[in-house]
Amino acid sequence: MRQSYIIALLLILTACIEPISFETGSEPRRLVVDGFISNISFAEQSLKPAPPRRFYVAVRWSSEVDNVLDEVISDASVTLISSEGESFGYFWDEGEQRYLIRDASFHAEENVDYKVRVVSSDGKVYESDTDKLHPAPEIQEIDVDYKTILKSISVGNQTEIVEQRGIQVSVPLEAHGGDEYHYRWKIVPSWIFETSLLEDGHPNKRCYVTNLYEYQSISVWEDKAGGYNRDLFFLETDDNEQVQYGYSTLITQYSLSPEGYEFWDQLATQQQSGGGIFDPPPFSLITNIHNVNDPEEAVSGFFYVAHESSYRWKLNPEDLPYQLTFMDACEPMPGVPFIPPPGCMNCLDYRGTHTDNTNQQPIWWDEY
Amino acid sequence: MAFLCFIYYMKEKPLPLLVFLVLLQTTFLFGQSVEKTVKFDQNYVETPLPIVLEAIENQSEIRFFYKEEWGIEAFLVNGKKGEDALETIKNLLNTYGFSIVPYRDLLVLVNQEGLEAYRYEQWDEDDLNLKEYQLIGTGKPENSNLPVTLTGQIKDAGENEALIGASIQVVDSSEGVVTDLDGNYELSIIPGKYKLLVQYAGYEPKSIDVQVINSGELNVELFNETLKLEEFTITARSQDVSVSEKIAGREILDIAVIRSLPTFMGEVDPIKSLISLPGVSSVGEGTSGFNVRGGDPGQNLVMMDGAIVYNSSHLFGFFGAFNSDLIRDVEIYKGGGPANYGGRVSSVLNVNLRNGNSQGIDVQGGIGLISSRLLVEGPLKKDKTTFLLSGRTAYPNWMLKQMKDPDLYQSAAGFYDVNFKINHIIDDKNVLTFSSYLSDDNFEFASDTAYVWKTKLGILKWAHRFSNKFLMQTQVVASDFQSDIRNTQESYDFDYSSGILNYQGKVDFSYELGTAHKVDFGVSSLYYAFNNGDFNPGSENTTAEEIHIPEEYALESAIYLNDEFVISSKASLVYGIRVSNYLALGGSYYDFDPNRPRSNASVTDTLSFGSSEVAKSYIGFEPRASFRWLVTPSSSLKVSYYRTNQYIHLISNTAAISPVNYWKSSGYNLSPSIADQYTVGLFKNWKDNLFEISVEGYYKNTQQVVDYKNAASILLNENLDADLIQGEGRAYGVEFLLRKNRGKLTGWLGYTYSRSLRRFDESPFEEEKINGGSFFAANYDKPHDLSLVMNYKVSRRFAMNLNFAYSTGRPITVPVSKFQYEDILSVLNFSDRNQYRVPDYHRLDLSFTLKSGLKKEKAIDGEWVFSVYNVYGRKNPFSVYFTQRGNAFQLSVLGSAFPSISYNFKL
Repeated sequence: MRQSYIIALLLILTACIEPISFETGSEPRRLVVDGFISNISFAEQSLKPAPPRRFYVAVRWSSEVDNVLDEVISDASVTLISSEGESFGYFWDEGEQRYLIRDASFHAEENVDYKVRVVSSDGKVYESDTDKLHPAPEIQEIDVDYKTILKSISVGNQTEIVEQRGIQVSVPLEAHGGDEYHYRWKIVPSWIFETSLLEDGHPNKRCYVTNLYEYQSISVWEDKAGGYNRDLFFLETDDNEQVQYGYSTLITQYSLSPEGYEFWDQLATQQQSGGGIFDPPPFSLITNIHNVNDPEEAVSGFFYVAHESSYRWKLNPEDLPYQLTFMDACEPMPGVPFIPPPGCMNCLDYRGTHTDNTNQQPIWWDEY
Repeated sequence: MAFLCFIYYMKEKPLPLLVFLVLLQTTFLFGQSVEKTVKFDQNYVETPLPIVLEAIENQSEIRFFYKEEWGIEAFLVNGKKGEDALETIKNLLNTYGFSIVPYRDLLVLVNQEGLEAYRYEQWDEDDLNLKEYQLIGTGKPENSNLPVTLTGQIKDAGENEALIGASIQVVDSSEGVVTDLDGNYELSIIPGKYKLLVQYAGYEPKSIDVQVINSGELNVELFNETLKLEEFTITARSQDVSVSEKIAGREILDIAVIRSLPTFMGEVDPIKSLISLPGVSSVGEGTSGFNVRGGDPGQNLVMMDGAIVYNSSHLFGFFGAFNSDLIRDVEIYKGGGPANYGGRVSSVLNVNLRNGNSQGIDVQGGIGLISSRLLVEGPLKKDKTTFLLSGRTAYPNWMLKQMKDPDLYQSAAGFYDVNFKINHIIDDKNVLTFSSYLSDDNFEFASDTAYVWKTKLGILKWAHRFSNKFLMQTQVVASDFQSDIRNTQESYDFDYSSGILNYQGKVDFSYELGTAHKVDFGVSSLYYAFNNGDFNPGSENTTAEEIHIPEEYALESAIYLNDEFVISSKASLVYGIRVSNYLALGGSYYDFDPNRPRSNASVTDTLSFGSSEVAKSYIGFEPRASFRWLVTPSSSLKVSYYRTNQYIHLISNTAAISPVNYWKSSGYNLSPSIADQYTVGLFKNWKDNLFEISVEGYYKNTQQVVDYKNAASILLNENLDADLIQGEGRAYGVEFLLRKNRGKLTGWLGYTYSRSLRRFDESPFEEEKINGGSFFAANYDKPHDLSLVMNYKVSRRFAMNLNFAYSTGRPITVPVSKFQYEDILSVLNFSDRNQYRVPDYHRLDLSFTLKSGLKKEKAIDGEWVFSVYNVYGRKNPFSVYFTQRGNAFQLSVLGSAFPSISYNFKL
């Protein structure tokens, strides 16, 4: 990917970028199945420093390219079937808008194949291919490295190159023999936001903010023999309000089957490349879902089984080897009409609907 | 952003006045408007003619030149104000045995009356005028109704080097030939009196009056244009070549034409200029490679002086790989070409370099803001050995430092190339040539990753003449292309390399069998070593593992026989056959389960071959035929068929060539591509070749073209064979060309309608089909392609050039729907491959050339060239990309007008 990026950059010498649209006509909608199970049950997950999560299957319709939230299908019947002959029913959850396994202790077992079956209200039967656990060493720790990079920022109409201090976070991968591991890591950051417009002690002065969408780039890696660190993300610290009062991120590691990895790898490729002349042609992702009676029907999505582990990393600003200074976004600037940004009057409104905000400190915040 | 690019050319060369004085028989050139009347603006009494001529020059656009030794100052003019000046001068000249004759669309004064009247005449022993002609042959012809052979060589008079592609024509007839690689020509001609016209672009045309008695020799020396009288011709092609050329699909672009096209940042790129020809296109600015008749860039055989060049550009395509100072001409065969060429299914491109100056040491060069060059040439041994050494280097780093992108800001780029050529004439039967080329590109990205490409070429050529009818040329060629990516960052350091190395031996014979047959035959053998990817982590880098894709080797051999058969004065047939043999040696291959799609999971066995062990062998029979029928002396019909095999494949799953592409051998799992091309064309010239028009249709079917499965990875893929699929390529089109060859306005209008489609439906598995096995548009399918090139000479000092290009947007694949997956709000479903198109491409370039004064003796002969690339600032999409939310954006590389100024001068 980097090569195409370089060339694209080189060509930006005199380039300009403009939006463009295509008349794509009416593409028939497809059924989409999205779901996974892992070796960590809901009960076990609830003990971890992480938001609780149940195993789910979401069934939706695909939509037009510029749409945001897809139409959900709430009247299907969804079942998990194992090679041991067991089956587990999913139940529609109105709050989550998807189907959940209610058994809090259910988790995927090693050496068992699982597949999911979706029966639509009009009787069409869709099934996934089977998938199973591929256990790998759990994530135990992360390494941090303080670095300075260059980045470009816009000041008015001008672009400037500035130095940016920050932390490179990586995960050590143990040396191993045998088969390769197929990893995917998911990064979900949380941080504290405080508004200076409210007095100390006000319940909505300080909020704990979590953003599921902060790290959209998908981190996948095929590890053949281990014995090195794999970079996960770079946390900028200068002018980053996320690190002003306290920062914490949950790193979830999934060990996938080769097929599951192929799906995620393709997804990562798709999210990183475009239609440039140095890019490989874009493509639709593989799917392991099919209509049992009509293999020709176009269906999307993937059901996978992952071996899961997680690690929470916390950063206090005083832990940094340097001092940070922050602008107060809630402070009026002299001579300029002041409209306080969202959150300044009530921290729960911070960043609108893009984040999950709570004024209650999560139980895991100080414990880890 | 606008760059002003000042490029200075320095050329030290004594002004060869003599050259001018012994030029043509032409003495005076009138302005273009033949009918124009010029009246005396004053009374003249016994005024020397040169003074009157100068006055007329000042008063009108008409320009005069004359040989001083003729002493025309002795011709005294008497004329009254208001009288017809030209008429008076004509009458005056007539009294001294001079006259004015029409020469093309000009009026030309000649010093021998009546030359213009020469037409075909039977040889007559008693001809009183015999002594006025150069005699060819001795004795009497056996039959004065049958043609005899006029042979000889056309050379540069200054540098004594053979001119390839120079034309010798019989004036007022369709007879004419072009010189071969050694500058030799052979013209069949019925005995008689003729006026021959010898031409080569950038050189003064020469007309010679001959009396052909019998077969004989006529060697001609042409002089470089030292005075810019008028660029009679801007191409190396003779003006009727489109009609008379025997090989369909052959085009020559002379360096003079190439230089006349407006340039981007003043950088002359011979290969880029081919794109203005019908049937040749590219995917956009800043891309290397070109597409011929619906083929991909890896299907073009690019050669420099006979050596295969695997990388035809510098810095991702912004600069041409070849220094234009050295190039004599660029010759392209759209299709396989004659049987002596093989190995690529789309085209053959020869970049021919000139030899060094044999008369004296010559230095020239140029200094620019981005690149500079220097050329030294001269004799090592008088009349025997010449050398030519040139170098070029680029330093665009200052530009990168202006970039507001942190990665580019920390980047560094540069390239250099060096050419060295020695030409040694052993005797009149043997000539040795050694030519070498070294090119090095370096692009350091974001201060830690360096991309390096290197080309090394060496060619040793021995030309031997057994007799005037039997020639031999032996070549030994080494060609090496290596691409490296290096990272120097601590703990991430690595070195990735790929490349292709080949050695070639080739012997070509040319034998003339009577006057009707010219037989070429020969044998060649080409040895390849392919490095398909080698990844070595540095000692600090514990993250990565070494990856070594096994090397492949191959031996491609061929024998060929080609006959240029002149069936009659109207019909000719160039036909031949090439038999090629390809041995894939070494390599490691997988056997796949035939009941499953190829993938890592379907591997059943691994086969490894030693470097001299034959893994697979292929034989190709490649017949070629090109028939030409002269319907009239100025119109012809051509029909051709070419079959060509291509055994090596450029692995590139992107629309344009990128630095990570590499060459791979056909082998155990990958078959050679085989193309059959059929063409039919009509060619017509008007008004003594002033205008030419042609229409040529082609249909090309290529078996086993290579494409890639969805999400295929081409880099360091140990199981690449599983990601490659082969299928059918089908291309067809009609090419129109209207060209004006002479006059104030010259240039051409080309239009091509073509399609290039592909189909991959041979596998029973859906994964190994593209678009369900239906035909789909190839990446470079651009149905409508129009180019207009015009050169308008406002005066002898001022000229304007215009270049307009239009083509249909290239095909792309776009998202047609999306879905949510996990926390990702938008995962895109894409259309079938290449079902949509980017917006159409069009662009106008202009350049203006102002030459220095026209005095014959001046210290500096200079010219200013001001050119504007993309005059109206069209934002042509270079690429179109999609955000994760499916929004489409187009990136235009050169989205605004791009001016440049350069100054060229000769000392």
